[in-house]
Amino acid sequence: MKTNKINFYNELIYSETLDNGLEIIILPNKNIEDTFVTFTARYGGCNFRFKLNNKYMKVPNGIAHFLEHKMFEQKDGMDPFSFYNLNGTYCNAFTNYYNTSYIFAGNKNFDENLIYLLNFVQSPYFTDENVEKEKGIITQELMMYDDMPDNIIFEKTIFNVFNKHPIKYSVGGTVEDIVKITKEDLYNCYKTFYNPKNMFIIITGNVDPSHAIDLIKNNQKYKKFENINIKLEEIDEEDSVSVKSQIIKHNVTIPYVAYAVKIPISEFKIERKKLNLYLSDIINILFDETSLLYENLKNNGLLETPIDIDTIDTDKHKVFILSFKSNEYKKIIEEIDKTLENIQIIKEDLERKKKVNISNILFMFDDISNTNKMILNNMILYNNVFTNIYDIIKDMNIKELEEILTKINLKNKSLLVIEKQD
Amino acid sequence: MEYEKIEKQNYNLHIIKTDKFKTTTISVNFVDKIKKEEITIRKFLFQILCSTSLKYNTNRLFEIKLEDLYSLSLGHSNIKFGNLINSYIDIKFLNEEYSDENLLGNSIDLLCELIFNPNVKNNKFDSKNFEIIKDKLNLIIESQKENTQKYALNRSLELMDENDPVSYNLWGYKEDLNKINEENLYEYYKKVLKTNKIDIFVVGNFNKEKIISLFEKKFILNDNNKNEFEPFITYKKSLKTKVIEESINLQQSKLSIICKVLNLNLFERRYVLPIYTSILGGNSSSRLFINVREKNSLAYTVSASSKAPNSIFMIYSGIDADDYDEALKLIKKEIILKNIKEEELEIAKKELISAVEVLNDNPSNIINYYFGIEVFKSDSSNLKIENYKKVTIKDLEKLSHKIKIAMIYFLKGLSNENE
Repeated sequence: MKTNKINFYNELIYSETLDNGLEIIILPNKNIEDTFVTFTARYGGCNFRFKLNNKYMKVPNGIAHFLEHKMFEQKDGMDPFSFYNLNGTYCNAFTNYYNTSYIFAGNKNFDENLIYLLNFVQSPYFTDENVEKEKGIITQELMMYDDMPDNIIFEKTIFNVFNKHPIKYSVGGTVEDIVKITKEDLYNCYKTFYNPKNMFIIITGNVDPSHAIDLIKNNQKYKKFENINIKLEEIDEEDSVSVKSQIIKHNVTIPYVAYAVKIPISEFKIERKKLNLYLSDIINILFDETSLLYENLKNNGLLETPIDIDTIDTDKHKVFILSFKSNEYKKIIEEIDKTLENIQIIKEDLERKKKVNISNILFMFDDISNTNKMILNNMILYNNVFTNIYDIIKDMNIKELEEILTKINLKNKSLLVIEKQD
Repeated sequence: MEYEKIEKQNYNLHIIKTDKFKTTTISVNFVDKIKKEEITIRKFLFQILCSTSLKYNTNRLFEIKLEDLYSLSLGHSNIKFGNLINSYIDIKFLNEEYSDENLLGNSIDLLCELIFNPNVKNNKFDSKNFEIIKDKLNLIIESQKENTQKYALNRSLELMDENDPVSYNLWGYKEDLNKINEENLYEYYKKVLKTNKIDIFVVGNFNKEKIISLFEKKFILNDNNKNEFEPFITYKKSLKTKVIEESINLQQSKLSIICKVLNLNLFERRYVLPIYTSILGGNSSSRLFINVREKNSLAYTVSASSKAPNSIFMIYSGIDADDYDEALKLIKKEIILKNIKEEELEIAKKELISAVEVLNDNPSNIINYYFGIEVFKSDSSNLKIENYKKVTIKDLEKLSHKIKIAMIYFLKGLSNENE
């Protein structure tokens, strides 16, 4: 078991990688009652072609999310919801672009709950019948998301920004995709991606690290897993966007707009985490509620609510999506264009954002579910828990930021407008 | 954890000292009897108070100030329970060891600045900022239909009885928004300070004496005559069930069913009703989840939740328009719980008891707990746990006889038909 101090934040993080490859990360907080546990497979909605038995195979989109639903089926005994509910324990799961995570959270029966989590995620039980049954439920879930303008604007934009990268498709897939999913597809994906080598557990909250690690070790000791080397198809994604501009109609009161900019990052020599911090700080300084642009747009009656800033990472690109609602969106797009063409950032702004970056991590540490999700995201995107995050932020400076600004390419943009239905 | 309530002349200061957190949370609560005609102006007031002040007279200056205070987080909201409305302003900031020794004082300064020093000149709120907030609220009111789940729930309550406080729409009303001006908003501001019950909760690891003296110096209310009223709503009888269908140009349809529980006593309101709704549709082992979702694949979302102070519980589901009859039949069959099993009762109890046991893990839950004691005379944690344990199947059956379906509302999605 390794122990590392998280500088400045007064936290200790424990970790161990088992012989079967499973990684365990624990950040205890003895001050509180609850414990929050996530068990994650590095497999999400981003549906790469993958190699199985020496040939590449492609499964329908939406399969990782479908698999997440189906992991709750058990051949014998109690299903996970009943088991955890009987314990007064919360249980859930979620699928993102790059991961699927299974959660439990509660203040009692920790040992039993942990073992059960490992066992249920490591014992798939798919039948033709239970796969069919799920299609109706997931169809309703997809329809619910399809009716939400915020969701439409995000998913359509990602679709338009990328050319070949599978991230362009929505995590849940479409109704047409999921009806094609079979029990065999699920087992193929499960066998490939739910291997301990491709998974990790994060425990935050009231836990004794060495005890938890022992429990996991003992549980994993007798389980057999195939020795699989995951090979994903490489994607040669271009810097240009797939669709530059599109207008669609939906049930909205005033137009919703997404202005996405796809930034190629291969050129930069700076470490990805730090680069991402710089890029996010730049975009926030230019467009958030402290920005001159927002103040002007609001004073001129062009914008009523703040610009929402979202981001997506792939190996070669970082995408920022600025979304807003306005009848005068053409003028706002012009203003965003102008702002990006002539970026002015002063030291004082960067220093303030660094303070915000440091504080926000501290706010996260005050809540075990947020702490868990923060570590999870860092593991998925960077395979690192960043015990030195304070030093990384402290080290950021205006000179480095200016260098980034000289190299940055902000020309690849994609616009999406949702207009009111006639 | 230590708790102390200090009764100041015109407000209460509740101090909860704990070393569990790296941050300090302060919540200022303004409680009043809910009035439909004041919902919009109240929302307006708290929006404007939390966006600028006399000193930070543009939103940009204000936001920069928050970041300078180590990203101090500021939130505000209105919530209704029974006959009351609570409007609160919360701030959360880092402990001194992670910031500087002046942050506590500076944060309380900012909180007092925004409550007592609003952007007002000559008894009027600043026009420019007034217009910005007005446009924002107008947009919020107009875009309600975009959040279909919330819209369907609000709409079903409104159609059930627009004069019942449970139906008052906290997003506000357009016709009331148009009546608000810079002067009457300022008058309303003064009225809130004068007539609302004000409770301040402070949670964190601080020097208690320092907090008390800071509030004594800075939080000064000269005059306060609280309105007294009964917070809970009790229904004596119920009229016939209303059934209303409306349509919307979306894919998924929404079904919302409102049930009134007549003549609730205090024990039922606090303990039996939450257990009842939990068994019905509060979790993934509930009757609705199992029968509507898992066995019949009719929905992804199907749940029941109670509004105990209002003597109401609501069932919500997102379904396909073609499945309306089947879903309604299945849901109606479950509303009056029959053959309740011990195991179901246990699951519901454990869920609710766990929530009480871990409430001290989170500053907002701690504040809600003491708020409940202050405003609703709620029971202590230990008593809550004991009382949940006391609830029997008989209690649930007795409650089931008091249930009346008040409203069945179907918001039919038309998109699929068009294709």
